[in-house]
Amino acid sequence: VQSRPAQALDLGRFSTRFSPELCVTEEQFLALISVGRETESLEAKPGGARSDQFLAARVVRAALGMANHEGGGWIVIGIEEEPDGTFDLVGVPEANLAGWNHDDVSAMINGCAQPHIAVETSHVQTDGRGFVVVRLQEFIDVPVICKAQGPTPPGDRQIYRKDVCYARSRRKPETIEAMSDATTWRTLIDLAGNKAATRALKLVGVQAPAAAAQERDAERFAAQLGDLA
Amino acid sequence: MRMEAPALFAKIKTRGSLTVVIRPATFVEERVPRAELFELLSRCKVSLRGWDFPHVDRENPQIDVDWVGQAYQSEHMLELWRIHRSGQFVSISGIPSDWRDESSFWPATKAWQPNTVLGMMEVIARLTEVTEFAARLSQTPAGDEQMYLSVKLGMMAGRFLVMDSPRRSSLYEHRASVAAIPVQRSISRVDLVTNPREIALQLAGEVYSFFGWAPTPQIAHDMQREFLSQ
Repeated sequence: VQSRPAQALDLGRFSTRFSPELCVTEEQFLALISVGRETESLEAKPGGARSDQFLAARVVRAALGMANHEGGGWIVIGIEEEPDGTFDLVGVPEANLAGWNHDDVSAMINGCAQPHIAVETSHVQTDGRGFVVVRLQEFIDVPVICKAQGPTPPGDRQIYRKDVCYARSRRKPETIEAMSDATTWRTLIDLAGNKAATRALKLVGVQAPAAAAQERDAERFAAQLGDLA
Repeated sequence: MRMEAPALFAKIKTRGSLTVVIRPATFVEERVPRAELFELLSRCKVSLRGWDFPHVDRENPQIDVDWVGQAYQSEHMLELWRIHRSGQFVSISGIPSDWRDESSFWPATKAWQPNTVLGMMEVIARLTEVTEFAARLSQTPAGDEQMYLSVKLGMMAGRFLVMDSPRRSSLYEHRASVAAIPVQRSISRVDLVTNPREIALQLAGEVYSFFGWAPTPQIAHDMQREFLSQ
């Protein structure tokens, strides 16, 4: 069952394109999960109900991390992880699928995110089982901060905390508090810094010197091709 | 059969075509001495399936002020290429299946029509040759730390992407709606040299996406392995 019109998805570069009408087809879904385990830009969650506050909170935490990851990322609901980290494609029970609709998922995530995260939710069926695929876009201007307090499961830590910046760990595929790991924090700062520098240069109408030189070189190469171009 | 480049260029452009440009990121007008261009190109050519890319005829390359090149047709294979002293290489070739009416090795059937299909395996095979060639070129005086690779398929509108391997089948219909399919990448020499086949699969994935087809990485790898093991 596809909830939105089909549109080509660049599977080679999951992270670089986003369309508000993006829909994940079965074929694309299988390609997405074919890696068979979680990655920096792919997180798997079991197929519980959205009313399960702890599951919902873990989805929110993952979304906050993906938004601060270069290129954004994906959360797939309906996958159990085996002890060795490989995927078991259990699916989301029919009764739970409706709760994971786009509007409610987006509202749930953005109720905890400052600034807003671009979210797109698709439902995919494969081999008779349903899955929810949530696409998170990378932040536009400044890193996303959590603006709400999350629940605390018995005997566990609070799932997300207000005023904390989450990111995807560079060490293993998980969402962590960005400042808890120097490499992850530096990566996030670099990403935000590059965006700020690009904005500043655009504002004053100046191209970065390297970009301007590249453009000049490209023009000279193109001129060489002449009628073959 | 060697041909005049303008005539072959015009002929290729009457049907589907593939234009490949490989160049260093930085423009240096006289990066390679003219006398070394043809030999350099010959050393880098790739022969993975019997027909080399680019196709090099050892005799009589055309030598111009800042480039050398050749134009050649053999059966359904049409190609012209040039390599400039700046290191810029360009190849323009026909889609082989579009020229079966001029082939005795692969003659046209009654149902055959040009400009109707593009083979899935043909895409992977050609792009694997292209990236392998680019990797070799990047390590010569024509190369640079950063390389630019552009592939453009022309006359694609309405064309079907078909499985051209007898070992495989395609269940769904995939058809292009755009006239030209452009794919471009800026790639470091290190990436190109260490991972040309993976890059070829990424480029192929982008080409396929214009037809609405997205093979899993496993399928794409298998297809490439199948081609390389032939």
